[in-house]
Amino acid sequence: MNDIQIIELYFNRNQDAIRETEKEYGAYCFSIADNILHNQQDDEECLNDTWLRAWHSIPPSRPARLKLFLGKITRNLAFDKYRQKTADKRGGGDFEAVLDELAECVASPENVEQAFDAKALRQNLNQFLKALPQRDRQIFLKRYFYAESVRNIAKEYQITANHCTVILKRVRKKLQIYLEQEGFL
Amino acid sequence: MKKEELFQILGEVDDEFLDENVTEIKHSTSWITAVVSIAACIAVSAGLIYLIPKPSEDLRNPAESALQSETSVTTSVQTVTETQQETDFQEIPLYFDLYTATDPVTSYEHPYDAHPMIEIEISENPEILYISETPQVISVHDSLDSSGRPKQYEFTVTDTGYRARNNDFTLERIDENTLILHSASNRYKVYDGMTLSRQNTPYYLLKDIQPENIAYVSWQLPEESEPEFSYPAEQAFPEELAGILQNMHIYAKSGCVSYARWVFTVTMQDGTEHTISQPEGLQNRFYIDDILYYSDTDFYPFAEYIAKMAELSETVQNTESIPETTAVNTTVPETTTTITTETTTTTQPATAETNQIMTGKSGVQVLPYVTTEGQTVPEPVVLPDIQTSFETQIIMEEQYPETTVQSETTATETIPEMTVQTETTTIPEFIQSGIIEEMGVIYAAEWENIDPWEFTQGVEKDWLLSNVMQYYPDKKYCIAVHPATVQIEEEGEEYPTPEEFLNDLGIQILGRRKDNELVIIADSEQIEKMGQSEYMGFVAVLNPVMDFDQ
Repeated sequence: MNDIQIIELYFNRNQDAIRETEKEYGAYCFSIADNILHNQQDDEECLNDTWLRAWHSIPPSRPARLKLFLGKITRNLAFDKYRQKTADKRGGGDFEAVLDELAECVASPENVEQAFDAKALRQNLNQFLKALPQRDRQIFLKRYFYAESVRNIAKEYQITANHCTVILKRVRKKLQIYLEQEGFL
Repeated sequence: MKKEELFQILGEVDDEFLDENVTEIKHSTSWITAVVSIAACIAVSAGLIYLIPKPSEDLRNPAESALQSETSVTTSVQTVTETQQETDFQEIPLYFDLYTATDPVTSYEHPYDAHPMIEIEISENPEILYISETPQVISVHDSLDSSGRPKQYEFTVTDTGYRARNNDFTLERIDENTLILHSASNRYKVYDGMTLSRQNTPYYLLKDIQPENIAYVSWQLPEESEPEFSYPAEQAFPEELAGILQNMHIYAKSGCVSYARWVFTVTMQDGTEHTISQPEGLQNRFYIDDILYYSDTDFYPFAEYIAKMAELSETVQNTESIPETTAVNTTVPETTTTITTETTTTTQPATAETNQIMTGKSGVQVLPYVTTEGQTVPEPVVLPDIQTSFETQIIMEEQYPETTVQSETTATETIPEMTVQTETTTIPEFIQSGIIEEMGVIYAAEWENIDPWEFTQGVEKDWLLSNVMQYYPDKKYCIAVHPATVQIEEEGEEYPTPEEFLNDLGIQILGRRKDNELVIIADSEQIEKMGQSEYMGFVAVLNPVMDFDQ
């Protein structure tokens, strides 16, 4: 069943929509959740929440790319859950490493927390990503959108983990400079 | 802005970027909604673990599905959460089979070969596979065959962890592609009903590795393509670096690879390979690119270090334009078979003496000890404090009267066309590892503030003794030492001052520098004697170029 057919099920309030969605994109969403949560039960819970969120969102939403629509929901839910779980203590592990790496990008030279316009930042991030070489962009998003492990990414792109780390580091540095130039830091 | 906020906003990037293959993330075709319970069949072995697909009828009763074997122990690892949805991918429960395998895994054939057999070798080396107390995620990197099933698995310990000897490991299945490796405190400890024995584990690699320094090592599967090198792969390791490597604490960030065997191979400039330890069934090697130095905050490629060494080498070789220290390269024609002896006499003008001052990374300035006949050894001088950059400087001063330097060139057996360097001026390959040799003296520039190595003084001394002098036992060394805090008796006699102690050993003192450190010139025998006495501590050995902060 393709996206259009699945979305039609949603619009018709046919509960098969969830089953079909899960069948089609369960693996994809599960991977996203698992990259962040590393816990099977949490992953499943996150997936269920994703289907529910989709059920409530479609309609009125009619996502052009259902897969990405669901992926983003899963990512947000998983991250919320991650923050919930780690509210009392530092989580550690792979995903914490992802966040720590991102911390490099937002390290302000003045070390001052600034308010920022999320919408403007989103636009700027898109511009930044657009300017990156495709491979760097893909690797960057693999790591910081999908929270994939460096090893996995390296494997996929047939580079060494070290090389991958270097690429990520360079892009992070670029991002930091970019954010500084644009006044976000 | 906080990192969490950035992560969140990154979740809202345009779909167009996510659409560029990025959506094809791993596991997408092979997920298991809920992990089926795993029956583990474990046999004490040489550390080989096989994850073996079980026939579908056994899936329904995982507790009864353990493979029977005389040497196996059956146990259940995880509980069943049977929420598997219809997928186009048949779920593959994994069975851990740790058994005695005198024959490497290559000959193993499991009867249930309807599914691809998954093999994990976890027997690397307790010295190498360091496991932290927290669970280690082992990602299974699967490549899918034409039917979309996993064909090849690679298990990787993705946490940097730290040294923890004699650990047991317990694998917990998270999903099809992820296992968690738990470490237990004792060997052979039963953990969650599962014991993975490391008895008879091959223990073959880098036994002499010291734990104080950390590096990252991984390897390449035989079937994988060559890794990309950020630094030319053909850049050879100087032979002596093998010794350096033996003083590194190397551990595996990567974990277990089927068919893989640990080996550390150092490729020499002449193409020969030096294997620090060669296990049976050698099929893999570590690559230079995958060896990283570790500092407090990051890993740095070992290749960078080598590159910097090469730069240093070039820098020093550029000093060959100074007549007094120029290496005399003699191109011998291919047909030359006779022994040629040539004596060169150079008269040095009084206005340009050979008082060369070499500045190391830390600015250790030492006057050269000149072994060549006819030159005067300078008086001790007070040396300035540390500087920050490394460069070799030849400073001409006008202090000494006209002297005569003689050098003798001897070339033998020069049948092929080749370049022969005079013995007195040759800059050895070893210069690449940071030791600078001038006029028969090896200068060991100070490498203070080099965090990655974190040598204690004792290690410095050991390093010098074991890794430098063995290659150049006949050389003299210019090093900095400092007096021990407590003066001790040597053979019943108490030395009142460091100078006296050194003088008694016949060691020449060039001068003092910061913290009363003495810059001396001594041969290996003297240094050894000095080291044994514990009267003097070594403070300056090398390394002048390990500055990765640039």
